[in-house]
Amino acid sequence: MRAALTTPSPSTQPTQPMGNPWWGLLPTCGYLLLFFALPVGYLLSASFRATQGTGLDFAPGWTLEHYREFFSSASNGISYLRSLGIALATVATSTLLAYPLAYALAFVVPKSQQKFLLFCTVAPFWTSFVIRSFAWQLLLAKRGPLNGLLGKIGIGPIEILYTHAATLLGLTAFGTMLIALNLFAVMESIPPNYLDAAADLGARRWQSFWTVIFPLSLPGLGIGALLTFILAFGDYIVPTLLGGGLRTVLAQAMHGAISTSFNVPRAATYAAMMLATILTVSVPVLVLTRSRQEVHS
Amino acid sequence: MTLVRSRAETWMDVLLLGGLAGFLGILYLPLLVVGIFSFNSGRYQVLPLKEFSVQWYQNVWRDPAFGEAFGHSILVGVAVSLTATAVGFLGAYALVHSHFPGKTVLSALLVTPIAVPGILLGIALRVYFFRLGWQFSLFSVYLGHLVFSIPLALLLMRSRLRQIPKSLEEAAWDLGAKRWQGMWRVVLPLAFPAVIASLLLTFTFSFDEFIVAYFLTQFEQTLPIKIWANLITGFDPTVNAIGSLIVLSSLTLGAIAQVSLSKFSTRGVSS
Amino acid sequence: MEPAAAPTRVSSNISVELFEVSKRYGAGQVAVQPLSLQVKQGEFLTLLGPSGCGKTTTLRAIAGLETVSSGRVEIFGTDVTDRPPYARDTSIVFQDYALFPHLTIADNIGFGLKMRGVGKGDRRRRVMEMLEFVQLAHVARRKPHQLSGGQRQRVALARSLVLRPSVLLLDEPLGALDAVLRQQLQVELKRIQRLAGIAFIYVTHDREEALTMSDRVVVMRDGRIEQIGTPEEIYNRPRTAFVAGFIGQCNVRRAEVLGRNGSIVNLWDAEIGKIQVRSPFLSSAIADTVSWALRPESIRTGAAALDCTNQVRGAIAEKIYLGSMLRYRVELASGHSLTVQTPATCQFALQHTVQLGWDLDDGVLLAEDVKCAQP
Repeated sequence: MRAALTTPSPSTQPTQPMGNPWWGLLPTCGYLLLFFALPVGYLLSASFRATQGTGLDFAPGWTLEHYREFFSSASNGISYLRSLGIALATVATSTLLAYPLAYALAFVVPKSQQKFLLFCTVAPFWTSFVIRSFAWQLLLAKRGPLNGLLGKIGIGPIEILYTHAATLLGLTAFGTMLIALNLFAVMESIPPNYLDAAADLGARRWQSFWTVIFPLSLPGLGIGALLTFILAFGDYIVPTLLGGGLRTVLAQAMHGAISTSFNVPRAATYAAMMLATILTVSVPVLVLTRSRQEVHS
Repeated sequence: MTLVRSRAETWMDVLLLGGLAGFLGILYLPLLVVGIFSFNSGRYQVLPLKEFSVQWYQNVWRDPAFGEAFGHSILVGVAVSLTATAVGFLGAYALVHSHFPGKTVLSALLVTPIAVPGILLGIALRVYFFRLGWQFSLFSVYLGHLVFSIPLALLLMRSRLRQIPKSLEEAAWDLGAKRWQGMWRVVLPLAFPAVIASLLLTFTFSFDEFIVAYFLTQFEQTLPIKIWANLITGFDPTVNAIGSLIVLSSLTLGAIAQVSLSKFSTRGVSS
Repeated sequence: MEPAAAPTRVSSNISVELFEVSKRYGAGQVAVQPLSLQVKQGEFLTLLGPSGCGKTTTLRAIAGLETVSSGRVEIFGTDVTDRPPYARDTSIVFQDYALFPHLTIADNIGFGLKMRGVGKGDRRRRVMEMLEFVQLAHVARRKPHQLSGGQRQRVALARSLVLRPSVLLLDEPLGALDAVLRQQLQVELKRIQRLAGIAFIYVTHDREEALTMSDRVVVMRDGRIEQIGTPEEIYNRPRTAFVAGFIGQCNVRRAEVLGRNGSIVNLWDAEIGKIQVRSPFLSSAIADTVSWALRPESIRTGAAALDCTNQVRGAIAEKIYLGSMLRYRVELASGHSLTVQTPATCQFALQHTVQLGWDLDDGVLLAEDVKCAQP
């Protein structure tokens, strides 16, 4: 504390007697420029090019043809709306599940076991996404173990595999962990004094949740929900392995445009729509999250 | 919190703990099922189970394609984690210690690759490499994985570097260290837990990554691609065995990372 | 500005010299106003002042950890203004000690030697010597977090001293320690400074630390030097109201100049009446208003007061017990009051009327209104 008082704010406007080490950013910036900004930019630009022949053989000039096609085709619209619906549903379900989960981890479990349980929650996500999705596929299969057990007690079989419900299930497992982790980080950093003070002022548990914990947790929710949205909106693996290939989502449509016909402008248009949506969702969430964090810090 | 709790609140606790246990159960159940079926001699994934058998594990061992794919994944993963951690460390150091106009905007831009779906990145890079006339190989997978691994490593190390008191590096300079000596002898050792975390995390992300790799390789398959191919073109229970192996080794790796990190951070910088 | 490397006075007894050094952050923020200062070889010099007065910035500018906005820093006559910290012959002890947590105590102390390319054998010998010098040889293999606060402080000192710097800079090095340990280490620091025979520049906001340890004290405020002097000068002859107040309890009053008689200045204080103060310089005109200061403990009471040059009567309005001392607020006839400090044996009852008195040399004319030439 003393140091902070007596050192005249070198943190805000430091001087650099050893020089400014901005050069450390050169490899990162250079790499991301060459292998992220340029490729993505090139792909997006392709969405405005007219096709001529195949592949990257574009006709000269620019066109909005692919966007017109996108918005006039019912199947494209449905793919897009499916992705959006799945993403929003995943975020909603994950949020509902993540709150009690994070609350339990932060405030209910004994402190001695908190680290272990946190590890248990995160650990499955260290394993391959493909394998986890395939594991769900195995479990949910029509003649799989779940229906086998259900059959024993006289229910089912339920046909859940290759439906959106299965996709939702697979994505929600991941989303719940992602949001709960972000919520936990925020909840854990809430000074116990706040809660003691709330309790002292007569707040019941749910009251102190709504008045103290919930408002403070919103930045964590923002980040977690945003990451979950992006994951669910752009995922190809879960919709393919659990949702089946028939009712295509945007990512599958994109995949199809490239792998079956190498129609770059079409794939690029899907990509542009995907990015635009993610951007539209991200910016307000990030702005809100940031302003909230500033209020509380 | 040592609050006196009412009976209703105690019930609430039980309910919450039950929910936690339920969630963990749902997380691990599918993995457990894969593990069980990997020892089941039957070809089909149905109950009741047939006899105990290790034939699928023998398959993994015998099929050179799996071994080869595994080797490819390890190779790419190690290369990616080393490069990303080194580049990310430099970038994080510069972000924490340098000052220039637009730094906030740049640091926000640098993490955008994490927020871009894998399929978009994969396709963009495929088209880009195709346009440049480059070969698709493990090297292009390595280049592709770096795109999200570098920001990841940078984020991890930036949060650690911010915790290191500035006075430690200043002390090094004062005692005669030049910039690179201070970085090497003081900052890097103090950022060690983050370096380990970055190496492990970027390795795992690369090792498990499917969709970017799928678009960027042609003949040399990585393990997730090989597994995917098996899943899509007619199921083979060998996947159960390889899946169990991956899950088990990932969990072990994760546990090691967790233990070593918590050990390091307790006798930390700020003591 | 002179060429960077040209030594101006090679064999002088000036260790560090600042020429019009200033430091600005960004637009309006001024940390240090143009400031000049000479530090003599072997001297214990303290920069004293409240938070944000620029003392730490000045210290860091000498270490090279802070670039200066204008001016020149010389060490033994060599201009080091543009040299980075590693190329300066100074060493700094940080307030948080900044011991490298990942290195043993021996390696911490050897760090600077290693950076300077001192060979392994030589390094080990010098580290051991230094460890013995600060009586910490038994903890050589430990890590910093295993040491007590006082031990860490000594390690930080040893880590700097092993390099035989030409000047040692200390940034509130006792700030984090408890009062008892602080007093021990003050004595210890002073002893080490005498043994090392080099200049110590010490930054603190603790006036007692400054008074007990320093050969000279530099009092700073708002990036400016208020006064430079020995502890006695600073305490007994403060030049400004700020110095008078910062160094200890002080009555600061306004008065009108009546005239001067040799070194004696006659003043008219509206509440007290005519008073006399000895002051070597006065350039204010007759009838100008000036400030003067009077230490509470310089004021005598009762019979002793009757022999004094200046006298006034007042009633005891408040009494504060300070252990070995008593502090009274004495209300004068006009309703204004003086603070008086007496030995604890000197008891007065509240409302009791007392005679107060002080001599020519007790009152001090302050410089804000007095245009004084540099002595």
